[in-house]
Amino acid sequence: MVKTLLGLILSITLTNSPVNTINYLIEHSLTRDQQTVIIEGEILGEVLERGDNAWINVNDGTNAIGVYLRLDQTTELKVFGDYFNIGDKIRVVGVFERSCIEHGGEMDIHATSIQIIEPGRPIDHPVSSWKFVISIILMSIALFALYLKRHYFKKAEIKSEVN
Amino acid sequence: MTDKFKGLKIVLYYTGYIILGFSFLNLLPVAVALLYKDFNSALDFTLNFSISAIIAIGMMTYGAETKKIKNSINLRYGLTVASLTWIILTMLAAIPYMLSGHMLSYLDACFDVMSGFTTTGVFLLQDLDHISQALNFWRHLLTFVGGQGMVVLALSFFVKEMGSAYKFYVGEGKDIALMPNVKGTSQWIWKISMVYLAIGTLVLWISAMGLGLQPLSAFFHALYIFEAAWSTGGFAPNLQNVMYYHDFGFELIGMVFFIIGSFNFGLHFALIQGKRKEFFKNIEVISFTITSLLGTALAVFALKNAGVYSDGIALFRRVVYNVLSAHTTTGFGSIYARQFALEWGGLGITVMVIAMLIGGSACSTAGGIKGLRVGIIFKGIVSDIKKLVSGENSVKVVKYHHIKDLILDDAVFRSSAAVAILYLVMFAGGVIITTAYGYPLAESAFEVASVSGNVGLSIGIISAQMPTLMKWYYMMAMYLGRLEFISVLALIGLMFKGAKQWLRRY
Repeated sequence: MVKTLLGLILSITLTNSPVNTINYLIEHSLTRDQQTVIIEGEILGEVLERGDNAWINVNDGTNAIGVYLRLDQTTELKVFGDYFNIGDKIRVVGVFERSCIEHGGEMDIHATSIQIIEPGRPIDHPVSSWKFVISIILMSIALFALYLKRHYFKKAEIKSEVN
Repeated sequence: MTDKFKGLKIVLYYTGYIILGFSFLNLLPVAVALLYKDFNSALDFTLNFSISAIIAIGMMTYGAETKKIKNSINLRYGLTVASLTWIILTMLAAIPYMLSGHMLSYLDACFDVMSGFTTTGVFLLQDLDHISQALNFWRHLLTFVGGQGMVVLALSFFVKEMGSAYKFYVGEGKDIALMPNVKGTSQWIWKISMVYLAIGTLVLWISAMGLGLQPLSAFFHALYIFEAAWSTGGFAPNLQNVMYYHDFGFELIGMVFFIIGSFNFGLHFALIQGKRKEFFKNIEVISFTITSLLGTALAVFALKNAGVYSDGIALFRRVVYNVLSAHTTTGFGSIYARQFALEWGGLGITVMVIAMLIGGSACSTAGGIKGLRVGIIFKGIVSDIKKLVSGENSVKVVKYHHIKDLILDDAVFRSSAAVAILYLVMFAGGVIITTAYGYPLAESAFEVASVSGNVGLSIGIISAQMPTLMKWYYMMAMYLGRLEFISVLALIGLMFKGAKQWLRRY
């Protein structure tokens, strides 16, 4: 409860603070180490549960990073990015760890709060009609060529055996 | 068979045969796409199957007369077939990449395919986290097949059609004989790989589900990570590579498989036959153990001293893991590319460059100069020094153990040294080009060692925005590094001969 409240206060305080890109954090990891930072990006894949906590991976377009958070913080996350979806875009406020002692030296962010700033949406992958037509034509040619090859080469083999 | 274009016909016939066999692999991603009701990707691979099959049959038809002389093919043609097959397959396998819309150019698509086939693992693909399951399947399939060898795959099935099989087999940089015949050897290479594929995928699948991944998703993650580990390829389905999973156990399982994958198929075969002592006597295992221990010790010393990592687990997961990944030429990265440049310092980068250049075992899925050659060169030099110091006139026979006891004569030493020198020349050329574009020396050396040794770790230079000349050079380095020069030199020689004949005729 206290942690949630502190997180809330911190996120309100940092609302107007600049958002860092993940690549910026990597490049300036020494100076940003164990500082509270803000990143914004798309959540990817799936929630990786670890008991009462969890990992989510966030991609901000420059790079992707693991965000460690409480499992209950993930309940509001609905859409995760993959081929079929653009994931929810979230704002993460948390402590940046250059070499996290808790996680085997991983560069990560321990989230104090997360907030969805843009809900995810499905990606449309319409089947192009030209691709469909060309596929049918080329497939027919390929199958016909395979049929011819089978007969032509068999015939040539018999002929060479006779000779 | 008439002499006119005889060589061309032989080469095209057999290259066509291998391409035809390969074209059927496209049907696997079609099945994956249909499983996900992804008709767009299914069409991409159907198109690629058709184009590959048509081209292959065209080539075979042109060289059809070759069937009559299948048992008397010159070694030069065998080598040329292997090297030409890799080029044409690279161009064909790049088609689904282009159709996916995730590549900025066809050259970039070819770069990624070459990286996959040669088990390098660097990529220029855009927005990896949003590519289709079918394309991800294709990327990892290419690296798995490339690791064992496309020609080896073809020989396993079509050896009856491919007379003079040994001449094709050696063209792919493999020369170990597991069985008295090449078909048996090729099939054994695939049997070993498939058994490991089943075991590895199952273990990783269970582990991935334990991480919280859904069963189907966990299966594909497990399959991809195994394929990339075993082939020492280094691809992963997400941008963060193995960092996506945030789990020591998962990393460790992958690590076991990439170390095993970097061992010689001859060693695997010996162990299967119960010859356990081979593991402790083999020159490659000894060479790998020594260089790995030295490399990890130096890197741990450098990173610990720099204060980057404080505890043992972190040093293992971030330093030992990456050094072994580099040494086995795998390319899985448990830190960000830029961390090498920003945190590893001169000593750390030097260790990585040397580890990447040495590489894994000969006749394995790994790249680099190879432990066998390093062992032979080292033993040869030590023997020469001993001879000089002792001043003995007597000729002492130097032996080394690799599957059996072998004599280290001048010819063996020379051929090992020649390949090592060619690697170093290629490496130097790449460093010169990269630094000429303004990149720092240490970073250039890291990146060029990575592509020359078919590793796949990056320090941040490789990107779709890098100069075109560098893309071409890196592709050539991956290709030459994987085929170990000889086959490519045979292809170039044959091309020159053909051009000369053509000019004389017209």
